Amino acid sequence: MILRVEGLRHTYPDAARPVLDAESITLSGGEQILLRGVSGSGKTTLFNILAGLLRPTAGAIYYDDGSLYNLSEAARDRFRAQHIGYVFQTHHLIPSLTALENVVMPLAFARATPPGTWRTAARDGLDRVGLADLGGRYPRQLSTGQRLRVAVARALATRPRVLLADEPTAALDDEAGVVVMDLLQTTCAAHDAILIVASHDPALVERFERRADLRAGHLMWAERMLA
Amino acid sequence: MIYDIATSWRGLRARPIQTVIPMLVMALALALSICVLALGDAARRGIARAADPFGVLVVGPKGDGQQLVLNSILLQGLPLGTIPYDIYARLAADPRARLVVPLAKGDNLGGAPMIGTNANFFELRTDVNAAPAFQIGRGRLFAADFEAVLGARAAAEAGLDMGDSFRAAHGVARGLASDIHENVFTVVGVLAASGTPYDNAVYTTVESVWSVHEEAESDPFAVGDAGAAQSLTSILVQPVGFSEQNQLWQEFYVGTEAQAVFPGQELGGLFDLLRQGEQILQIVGYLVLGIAALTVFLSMYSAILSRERDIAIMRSLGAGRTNVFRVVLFETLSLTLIGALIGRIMGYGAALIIASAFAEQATLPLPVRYLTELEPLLWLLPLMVGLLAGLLPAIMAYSVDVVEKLSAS
Repeated sequence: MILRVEGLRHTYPDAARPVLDAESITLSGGEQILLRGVSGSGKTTLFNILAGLLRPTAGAIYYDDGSLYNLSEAARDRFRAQHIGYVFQTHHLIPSLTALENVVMPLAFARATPPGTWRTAARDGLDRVGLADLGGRYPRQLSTGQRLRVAVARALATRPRVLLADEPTAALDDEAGVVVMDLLQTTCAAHDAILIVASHDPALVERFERRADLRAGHLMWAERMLA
Repeated sequence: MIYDIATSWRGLRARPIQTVIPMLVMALALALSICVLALGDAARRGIARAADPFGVLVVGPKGDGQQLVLNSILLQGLPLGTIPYDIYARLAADPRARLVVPLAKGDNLGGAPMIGTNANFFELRTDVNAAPAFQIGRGRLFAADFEAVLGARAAAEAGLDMGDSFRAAHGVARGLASDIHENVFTVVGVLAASGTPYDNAVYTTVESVWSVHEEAESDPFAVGDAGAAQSLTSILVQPVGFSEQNQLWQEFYVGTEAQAVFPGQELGGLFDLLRQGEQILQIVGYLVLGIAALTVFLSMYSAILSRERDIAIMRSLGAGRTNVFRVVLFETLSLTLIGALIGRIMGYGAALIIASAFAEQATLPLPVRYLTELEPLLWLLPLMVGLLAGLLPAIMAYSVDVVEKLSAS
C-alpha cells in the first residue's frame, strides 16, 4: 500500500491559524517513520486525519490511488477497521470489556474474517505481546504497561496496512518500551505495513531511518538515516 | 450484528444497578397489567364455570337480582330472604319446567353452607346430553332426613367420611359454639370434586333444614334463613324451552311474591363491573408503563453520557455510526424485553397467588390461564417502549464527535 498526503491543511473552527500544514508525504508499504513534535504540534490531528476520523480543511489523503475522504463515512469506517491500526497515547481500552474482548473488537468491526476465528486470533495477538494468560482480565486489573500491550495487540489484530502509534512508549519504562517498539516494528516489517510513530522519546530516534519534525503544524523532514 | 448484541450485553452487565432498576420497573408495569387481566379473565371463567350447570332461571325473594344469583349459584354473600315452599310445589308441577331444584340455606358446617335440596339438584347438567355436574364420589345420596352428602372440599376440611356424624351451626358462616344445633346428621356420601364453590357445601333434605330450625323460627335476626317452616331461599328452574322460560319469567315479573332472574344477565352485569375495574387498573398499568419508559430512558441517557469515550474508541477502531446506534438500541430493547419476560413471571405468579388465596377464602376457584391472545400486545408494548426510550440515547451515540471525545480523554 502507498500512503500519499497532498497539500494537507487543517484549521479548527475556532482557531485563527492552521494547526497542521503539510505539503506532501509519500510512504510505501514497509516504511517506518518517526514523527517528532511537542504537545500541540499537530501530531494527533495528523493521525486523526490519516485514520479518516477528521476531514482536513484542505488537501487529500490517498491510500494507493483512492482518496480517503472521497469515500462515504461508512466506507471510511470500514477502511479504517480493515487497514488502519491505531495505538493511542492513553491506550483507550474499553473498561467494560476484558483484554481479550478489547482485542476482538477491531476484528468484529473489520468483518474480514469469520466470527468463529476472532477469539483465537485475539488470543494469538495477546500471546505475541506476552499477555496470553491475562485475556480474561479487565483493564482496571492490568498495569499501565500491560494495558498498552493490550492496545498494541488490538491495533495489530487485523494485520493493518498502516499502523499509527501515538506516544507508544510514553508510559513505559525503558525495557518495556523496547519490547513494545520491537513488536511494532517487526510486525509491521513482516506484513509490509507502514508504521508511523509519533513520539518525543529520544531513545526512539535511532530506530527509524525516516524522521520528521512537526513544528507548529509544519512538517519538516529530517535527513534520511542510512543503515 | 451478533457482535453488536454481545457488546450491548456487556454494556448492560457493566452497570448492574442501572440495568436492573429499569428492568424491574418495566417488569412491574407489565406484571400489574398481566395480573389484572389474568385475574379478570379467571374471575369471568370461574364464575361462568360455576354458573354453567344452574339452568336459566333463579327464583327467589324480590330484591337485588345479582345478590340472588351470587348467593344461589356462587354461594357468595347472604340470601335475600325466603319464599314460600308453595312456589316450588307449583313450579314442580308446571309442565313448562323440565327440572326444578329447591334450595334452603341457613346453616353451616365449619363455614361450609348447608343446602337443603332434593335429588333434582344432582340432575343439574351443563346441557341435556352432559353428565350430571355434581356426582357422588363415595357412598350414596341422602334418602332420609338428617342424612347428609358432603362436597369434596367440605368433607376434607371437616375431616368427615361416610358414617361420621356432625351437628350443624346456625347461620351461613362459621359462628359461635352456642349457635350449634342439637340435631345430629350422618354422612352418607361425598361428592366428587366439581371445581366449583359447591365442593365446599353440605347437602341434605329440605325437611332436615326445616326441622333444625323449628326452634329458631321466631328469631328476628335470621336474615335469609330458610329454617322457617315451608320456606326456601331460592329455586333453580330449567324450563323446557325458550318461550316457556319467558312465560315463567313474565309471571314472576308481574307477581309480587317472588322474582325470577336470568343468571346470565345478572352475571353479565357483574362482568361489566369487573371490566370497569379492569379498565381503571389498566389505566394505572399504562401510567406505570410510562414511568418505566422514562426510567429506561434516563438509565440509557446517563449511560450514554458516561460512555461517550467508549463509543468514540469503538468508532476509532472502525465501528460505524450504525454499529453504535444498534448497540444502544439493543441495550434498551434488552432492558425492556427481559423486563417483559420477568413481568410475565411476576404477573402470572401474583395472579396465581391471589387466585389461590381468593379460592381459599371465597371457595370460588379462579382458573388463571396463560392469555395467549394478549401475547402480541405484551411483546409489542415493551418493544415500543424500548424503541422510544432508546431512540434519543441511540441518536446521541450515533452523533458522538469521535475526535473531540478522544482528545478530551
